[in-house]
Amino acid sequence: MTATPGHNILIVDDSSTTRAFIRRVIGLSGFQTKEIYEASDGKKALELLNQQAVDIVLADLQMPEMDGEEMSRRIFNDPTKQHVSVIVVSADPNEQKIQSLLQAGAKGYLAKPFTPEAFRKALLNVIGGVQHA
Amino acid sequence: MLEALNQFALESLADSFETMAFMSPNLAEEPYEPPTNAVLLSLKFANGSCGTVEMVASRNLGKVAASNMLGDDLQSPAQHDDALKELLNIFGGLMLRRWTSQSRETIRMSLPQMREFDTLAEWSAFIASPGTTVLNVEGNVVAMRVRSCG
Repeated sequence: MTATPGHNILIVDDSSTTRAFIRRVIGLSGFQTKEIYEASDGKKALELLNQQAVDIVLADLQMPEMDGEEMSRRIFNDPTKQHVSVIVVSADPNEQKIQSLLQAGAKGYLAKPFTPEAFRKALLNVIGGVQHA
Repeated sequence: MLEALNQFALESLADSFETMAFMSPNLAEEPYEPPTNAVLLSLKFANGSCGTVEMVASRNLGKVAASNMLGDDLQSPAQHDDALKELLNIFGGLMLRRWTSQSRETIRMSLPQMREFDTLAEWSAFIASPGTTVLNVEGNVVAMRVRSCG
């Protein structure tokens, strides 16, 4: 992905507290973002991805309606969404599922609980280590 | 299995609360006062090992946790409950990751559930059950245990 002065980020998590927490951590990390969108499940996230230009999806795995695994695989398999980078941000203990998603196209994985610094590193890894202040 | 899981549970709860909500749990001193306006949170896991992680806490703990996580006091009661469920989800997941790193199992974990907890009717039996740990999380009493299936 080419680094730009700001990224559009989509936070997908069924916990409104965690969505707000991640939004806060992104702000405290000094990342320059264009827009931060939120969705509470995979289905709503896919609908939003069809309407908005999103660069990075922060995907929880365990969610009602459509979970993060199915959502991520649909993103990986959609030719129109190959520019979207998915980072799995989850408490899910299923290591096989995580590895399978990384092999299928996820650009990173961050286990909950995470520190703001770990979160920042995960985002930096995805955007190539280049951050415009 | 249960003894190891309970040990992982204690460490994982402490790590999760400290990292996400900036709260430090300590072992509570007896006699254990029941939490007021309490809820029972539970999370099931299955596949190789099978069981339930349970946590009894006051709604006030959710209020403090949400406030710490978000840096303000503007959350609704629904978000206080959501913060409690998310903390259980995170601590349960961390506990199971630590367990499966030893056991090499693949474990599935459910979404957390929450219901009202009647402290008058349920507290004594809950804290008397084997493996239960009672904690003081910055003035809030929390009881937690791991139960195996069957």
